[in-house]
Order: sequence, then structure tokens, then C-alpha cells
Amino acid sequence: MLFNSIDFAVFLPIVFILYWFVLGRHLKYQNVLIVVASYVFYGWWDWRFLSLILFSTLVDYAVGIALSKSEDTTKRKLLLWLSIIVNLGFLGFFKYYNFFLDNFIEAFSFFGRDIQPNTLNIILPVGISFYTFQTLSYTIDVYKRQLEPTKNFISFAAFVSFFPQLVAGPIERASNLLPQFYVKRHFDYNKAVDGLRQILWGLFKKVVIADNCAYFANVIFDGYETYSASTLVLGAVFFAFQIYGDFSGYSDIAIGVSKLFGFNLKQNFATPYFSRDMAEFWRRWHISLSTWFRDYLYIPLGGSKGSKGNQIRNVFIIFIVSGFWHGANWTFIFWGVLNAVYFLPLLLRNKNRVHTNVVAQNSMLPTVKELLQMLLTFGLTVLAWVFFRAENLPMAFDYIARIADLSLFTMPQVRPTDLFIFIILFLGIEWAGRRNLYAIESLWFKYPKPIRLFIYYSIAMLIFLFGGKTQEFIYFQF
Amino acid sequence: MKRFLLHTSFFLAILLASVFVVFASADGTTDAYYKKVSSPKQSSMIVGSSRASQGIQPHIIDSVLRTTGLFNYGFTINISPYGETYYNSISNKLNAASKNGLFIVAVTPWSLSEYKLGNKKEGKYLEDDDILAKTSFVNMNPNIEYLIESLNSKNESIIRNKFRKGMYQTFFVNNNGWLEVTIESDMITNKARTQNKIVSYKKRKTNYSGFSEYRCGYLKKTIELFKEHGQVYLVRIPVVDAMLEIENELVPNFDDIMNDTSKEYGIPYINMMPFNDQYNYTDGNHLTVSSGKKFSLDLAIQINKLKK
Repeated sequence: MLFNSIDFAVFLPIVFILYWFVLGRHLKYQNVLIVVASYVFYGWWDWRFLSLILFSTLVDYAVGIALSKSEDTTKRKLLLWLSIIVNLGFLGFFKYYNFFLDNFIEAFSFFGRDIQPNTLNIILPVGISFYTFQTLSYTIDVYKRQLEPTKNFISFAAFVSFFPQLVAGPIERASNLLPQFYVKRHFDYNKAVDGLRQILWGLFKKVVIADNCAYFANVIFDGYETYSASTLVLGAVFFAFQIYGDFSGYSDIAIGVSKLFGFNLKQNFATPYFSRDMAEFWRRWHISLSTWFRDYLYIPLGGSKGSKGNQIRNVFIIFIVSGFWHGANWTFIFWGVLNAVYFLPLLLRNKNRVHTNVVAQNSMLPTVKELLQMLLTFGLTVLAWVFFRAENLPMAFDYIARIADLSLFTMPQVRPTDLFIFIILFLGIEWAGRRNLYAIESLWFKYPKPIRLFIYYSIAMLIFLFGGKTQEFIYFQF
Repeated sequence: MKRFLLHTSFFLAILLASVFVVFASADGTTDAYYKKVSSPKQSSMIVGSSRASQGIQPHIIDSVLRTTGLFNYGFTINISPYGETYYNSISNKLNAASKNGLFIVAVTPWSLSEYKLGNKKEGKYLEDDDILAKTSFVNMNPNIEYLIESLNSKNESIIRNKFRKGMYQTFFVNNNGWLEVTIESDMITNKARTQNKIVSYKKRKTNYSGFSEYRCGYLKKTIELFKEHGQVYLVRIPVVDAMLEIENELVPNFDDIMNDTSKEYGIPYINMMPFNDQYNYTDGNHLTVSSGKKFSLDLAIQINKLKK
């Protein structure tokens, strides 16, 4: 079920009313409702894959219980590996089977051996990368004794399948989300209104910015051989706003919906396009995934400690794995490598934590230096997005090669005025609200309520009037 | 909680009212189909593809035959070839109480041909995923179902197109369903458009596997349906010679099949193709507005003669 669909517009109020009005006094039944609603939400797309979620839930619940009862190090390790193998096994099969097989066949053909491929028509279950990582974090934390395993199966099932963030994150840690299922939730007017406000902003990002950018990005990327260099640059910029609006919009809606049910999810994006270097960008982009990799991969590998060689290795591993997490394609792996190359100089010069605060923290506008830093970082990010968006590596390189042309200094062939205005408006609001958890969190609080309501009404009408053709959220495929 | 529900309901009510106002303003400028699916049920209809939608002007026929309320319910070759989807939509649009209606069934080899990918055994026909399949209510105004599910542009176009009419907007659907297309029609642009159309239709033909029993079956069902409610006329609208050649290759004995069908059901087949040099076309496939007027007049005269 898509957040920006009529189905969800009907589903959400029904679940909300049942949750607060019918089951409001019974914590256990509220959790049961969350599990049922989450399974309906997921099953709306393809009910067959509910079995994967259920199986993963059962395995990790049982592993958690077994870990709590065992002091034997070997047995505990075996249990941890059982969870890792089951979860990554599903992920590996559904997401990477054909990729490995195809590359295996190509490698053999290179050496003159032709083998008959036996590829399968595998459907990628929506959100598998997200809920797999979420449940894995639970088992790892329990194994490390950083988290008490739960004996409450319903709460655990609700944690794994919590519908607002099930299919595209944020990837929640058990330590943050699971305890929230143990305690009674009380309806909080301000929190619910805050949730609605965040949903509204998320929808604006998704429907007005991302879906409209998607249209032009698709047109330009699909026919890139026929466009001028300046148009190709614009296509890549449109894709940058598409993926940001799409994914951060989804996160905002997920967090907002969670607030309606009394839950707090972690912030997933913090105005990443206002970053002054790539290290800052990666602290602000898809925070839940970056921190997951940091805590469960980068730090166990040694992180930024140890020899320079180890540091370089660790950086490359984390970025390549991150790229590969996004999809079974060499383009994602190259995207990861490119980001590692961007990041490395900062790490090696110990400059990776220079910009830890918000840009122009105490002023309205950035300095010229900050502006140039932001533009450079954005430019590097856009360049990397070309690899993320391209169908394959030759196309990505060809796309970039075509930008190095005199037609770079001509007017782009595609000039959607409406969209330019929306992007400028969007950037303005994001800039003004860069200190908030989401741009419009408290942006207009200084104005009287009627004016604020009129602004929210205007945003809602912009969504209705200028919403692009409905596109599935990009991150559903990851 | 009550405060939250009250405030949210109030906000949503204002929002929904605004949405409704925008939807209610949708009309013949919105797109080429909206007016057709938002008018009341009809007692007399023209059905067919875009040739019929643009080429047959109901008011001209009404004026000659001294009838009222003929409605053009033609769409395009992709949306309304004869088949289950179009038949169901026509049935929904037809006024069940209609007795002495006039029904013009426009036929082309395209609307009776099988699309290679459209074998029912392998899956759906192309039109089964298109607007008529998604629009179960075809006489609702405003037709919110259509506007949400099938409008192929942003909702702002509902408002914007009103101001573009006569300037940048090249089409307008009249209250009688006639799609009025006013595009530049000097000799050079017409020739270029015709050449492009011929090339595209030659390419299109490669996607067709020829005459379809399935489509012909539904054409016959449509005729049977209309016969219960009035007089039915099978009509072939003219096109340029180059287009006719492609059609002759697609279904070589098309006119024979139509003649047989007309005999089978005791209805006239009015084949206007032999007079194709008497009309002008915007692209070799569609009549210009003035030629559409002449064609409608000629067709009405033919029908009048047949009536006597």
C-alpha cells in the first residue's frame, strides 16, 4: 500500500479510530491491531511474502529467547549466526541470486567457457532490506548483551512489522522502538498534530517535488543521447531532488504516522543537501542506514582506528556494502566506491568531523565560503547520483562524458518553469527549517494560528493540484 | 482526542470542499474524454475511435434529421476498439429506456483487429487497463472516479486549460461529445503530419495480427444492443489513400465483412471511403473541422435517404 494512495487514505483513519477509540485501554490489543494492520498493509502489495516476515520474526524471537538462556559462548555464536544466515539468506536469495549468477556466467564466458544459465524469475519482496536489517540489529544487540531479549511475541512482531516504517524505513533499532511497545501510549494532541504536519510535508516532498522531478529525470535519462550537456546536468539535478524528495518524504510520512499512534521514530534525513563536505552529507543522509553500518560493520572492523591501510579498507568496505545494499547492480557498487573516494581525503586528514553543527547555525544566510562548500558537495553528490540512476556502468560513463561538451553553456532543452519554482520554494523552506527535525516543524509558529492553517491548507492544495503522476517510492526496490 | 478529531475534520472538510470545487469545474477543456464520461445517459449515440470522435458532428446530423440529443461516445483506437471493455462502457452509457434512438457505429479495420499482445489467453487486451475499464460510472458529474483514476495530467490542468482554450489548447469536447480539434492546417504542416502518421501507422500495423473474431463478436453484440433501442448504421469514415492502403493490407476483405454484417443484422453499411477525395484531413487519418462538418452533413443525407 502506498502512502500517497486512496487505499492508505482509507486505511489510516480506520486503524487510527480502532486503535484509540476501540482498543485505547488495552495495550496488548493495540499491539495486536498494529501487527494485523501491518500485515494487511504489507499484504496489500503481495500477501505471499508475509510468510517471510513471519518466519524472520519467529526465528529472531526464538534466537533472542535462546540467547537469554545461554551463557555458552559457542552456542551464543551459533545462535547469532543462525539469525544472520536466515535473514541475510533471504536477502541474498531474493535480491542477489540472479546478480551473482549472471556475473558468474559472464566470468566463465570471459575464459571461453559457456555455461547454460539457470536464472529464476525472482520477485524482490518490498522492504526486505529494511526489515532484515531491523531484526538483525535486535539479535546482534541481544547477543552483545546491550539489549534485554523480549518475551512478548506480539510486541516483537509489532516491532518487526510496524507498518509506517516496514517497507522503506527508517530502520529502527530495537533499543529505541521495541520498548515503546511495552508501555501504554497516551494520546497527545500536540504530538498528533505534529505528526500530521510532518505527513503533510512528506507528501509535498514526495508528490510535488519527487514525482514531478521523476518525470523529467526519466525523460532525460531515457533519451540522454539526444540531449545537450546542460540538459544532462539538469537531468542529474532533477534526479538528485527526486531521490531526496522521494526518500526523505517517505521517512517524514512514516515518522508522522508513527506519531499519530504515539510512537517516536528516529530522524532519517537532516537537510543533507546543505552539507559542507561529504562526511557531513553522510551524517545527514539516510541516517538510520548510515548509523546501522557504522555500528554493526564499520566499528567492528576497527572503524577509523588502526593503521591508515585499515582505515582505507574500512571506508571502502562500508561504502561498497552500502552501495550493494541498494541494489544488485554494478552501478550501485560504483556509486559506493565513488563516495568512498569522496570521503577518504577527509578521513585521512582528520577533517571528517569538522562540520557537526547545522550550517549558518546563528545566521540567516551562509557565508560565501559555506555557500561554495555546499555547492561543491552538492555537485559531487549529483555526479555520484548519475551512477545510482543509470541502467549500467557504460551508460553512466557515457552520460558523464557527454556533459563535457560546449553545449554545457547553452540553455537546457527541458525547462519546466513550474518545477523550477517548486524546487526554489522547497529549498527556501528547507533552508529556513534546517534547524528542525523536519523543515516545517516549527517554522511558522510565530504567526497566528489562522495564518499557519492557511499555509498548511496551501501546501495541501499544492499537493492536490500539482502532484505528479503517482510513482512508487524509489526505496521500495531496495 | 475530541479536539484533535474536531480540528482535523474541520481542516479536512475545507480541503475536500476545495477539491470538490476544482473537480466540479472540469469540463470539455479538461481532456479529450472527460466530457464523454460525465454527461448523462444517452438515447442516441455515435461510437467508434478517434476518427468518429473528431469526424462526426452530432449537431449537424441532428439538424438534418430533425432529431435531438445525438451524442458522440467515440474515443481512440487504443481506448475504444470493439471489445468487452468498450461494450460494457457503452451499455453503462446507454439509456435503458431509449426506444427510437439513432446509433452510428463507426468501424475501421483497426477497431476490429487483433493486437498481437492482446490475446485473451495470454493476458488482457490493451484497453482492459485503460480509462474505460477503470471508469465504472460514465454518467456522473463531476466524475470523481475518472478524475482520480484516469486523468492523465495534473489536477491544475483542470483550471489551467480553461484559460488556454482557443489559444494554446487545440481540443475541446462539446456538450454533445464531439471532439473539436483545431490545429494548424496549412498545406505544408498537413503534409508533414500526414507523412508522420503514415509512417507511424505502418509501424503500428506490425503490432497487429489482422482481423479479430473477438472484436467482430463484440461489434455484433454492440449492434444487437443498439437494435433494441432504435436504428443502427454501420459507417466507414474516409481517410487518405495511403492510409487506406495500410488498412487494406491489415484486413483485405474489410468491406466484405462489413457488408455481410450489415446483411446479417438488417442494418445499412454506409461506406464513405470511395468519396475520400472530397474531404480534407489534419493528418491523413482525421477529418478537419470543416470537412467533418461536410462529412456529417453527407452522412446525415445518406441516413435520411435510407430512412425514406
